[in-house]
Amino acid sequence: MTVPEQKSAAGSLPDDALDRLLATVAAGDEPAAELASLYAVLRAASAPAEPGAQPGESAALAAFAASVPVRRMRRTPARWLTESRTRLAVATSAFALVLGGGVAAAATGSLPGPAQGAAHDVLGAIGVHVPKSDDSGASGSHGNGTSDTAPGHTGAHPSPRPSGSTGKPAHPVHPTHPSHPAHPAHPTHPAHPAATAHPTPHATSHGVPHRPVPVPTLRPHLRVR
Amino acid sequence: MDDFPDVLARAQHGDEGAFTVVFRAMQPMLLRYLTVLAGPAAADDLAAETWVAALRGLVKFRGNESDLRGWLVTIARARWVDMVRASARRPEELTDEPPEQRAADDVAAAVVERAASAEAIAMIARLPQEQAEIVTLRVVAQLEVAEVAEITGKTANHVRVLCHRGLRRLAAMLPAPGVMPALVSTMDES
Repeated sequence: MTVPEQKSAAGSLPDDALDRLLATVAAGDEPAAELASLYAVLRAASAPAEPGAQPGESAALAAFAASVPVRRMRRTPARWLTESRTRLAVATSAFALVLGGGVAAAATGSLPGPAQGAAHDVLGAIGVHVPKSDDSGASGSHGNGTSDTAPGHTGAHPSPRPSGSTGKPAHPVHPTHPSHPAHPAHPTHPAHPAATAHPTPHATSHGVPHRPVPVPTLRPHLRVR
Repeated sequence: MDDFPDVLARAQHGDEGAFTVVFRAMQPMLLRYLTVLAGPAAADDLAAETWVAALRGLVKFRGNESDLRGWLVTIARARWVDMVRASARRPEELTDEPPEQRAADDVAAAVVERAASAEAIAMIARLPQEQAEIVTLRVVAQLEVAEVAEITGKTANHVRVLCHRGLRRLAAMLPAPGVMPALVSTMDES
């Protein structure tokens, strides 16, 4: 090979021949004979890589994985609405569960004293009867778990108690669900309207409550007058 | 890539498999382009930086496969410019000696014998900087003259001139045509 001769020949290559060569390389067609060498180099330069993983692939995939959470935050309005509905449904269910549990606890008189009293006042305002905290205290059975003023407790027992309910014939076995005797396993349905069917027999039948009557000490001028 | 729009859409929505397909289709071109610009040692790092930058804007990208090549090349070129500026060296200093002096027969022979793209890229990289880049963009990235002009900031006519000069200079490095049939046949097989 004589490089100077090759240089001379290459230097005379016309522009249109080179443009056709580029098109030939891109299409993979047969090149002109005088451009076979250059064609081979250009084809080699643009040849497909070996199939499979490419250099730097693991780093690029790691960067891709790190960027995915950012992209997922850019939700479409429809997707955002769908997910918002799902979240709202879950939150509503959780709230209802907590509220129901709280009402159930209030209905059974299981809440601590002040909370039970507050539940009595609030739920009583909407027509739902729950015992006051004094109700369980009046039975004289604090902490022993045998309070007969807790209607839920009474009905929750699979077998009637021998003596605790004898003094209250109006509530034989299932005091909070008199109209549903076929469901003894659910003695204290908190949201059931039957809870309102009871007037307030316990609250009115007990004597002095444990909590003293508030004295208007904050307004002494009223007493002076 | 026949199903490029679908693959790209899935990659944009976080599908790792789809992104892998895109990466494997683009990375060889990207590495060859960066090898011509910055040399093989810096090409890997620049390519990694290119992908990190590209991932930040991948969701917003719109275009076909050729557009994606041009977009990635644009990012890669910006990373390369940053690297050159950071190293406070002129881009011309990244290249070797003039191609007339470096066009050794052993390089051309390696191309003939191995028909490997790496050797072909090495030959192109011996061209003057501007010619090497434009030949690479036209041949390896398969971009049109207008796209190359936009990426490099040159006029279309200037791109054509530089490309022709580069191809002539490259042809001058090669052995006589009679030596090349082995390489041509190898390329046909691949």
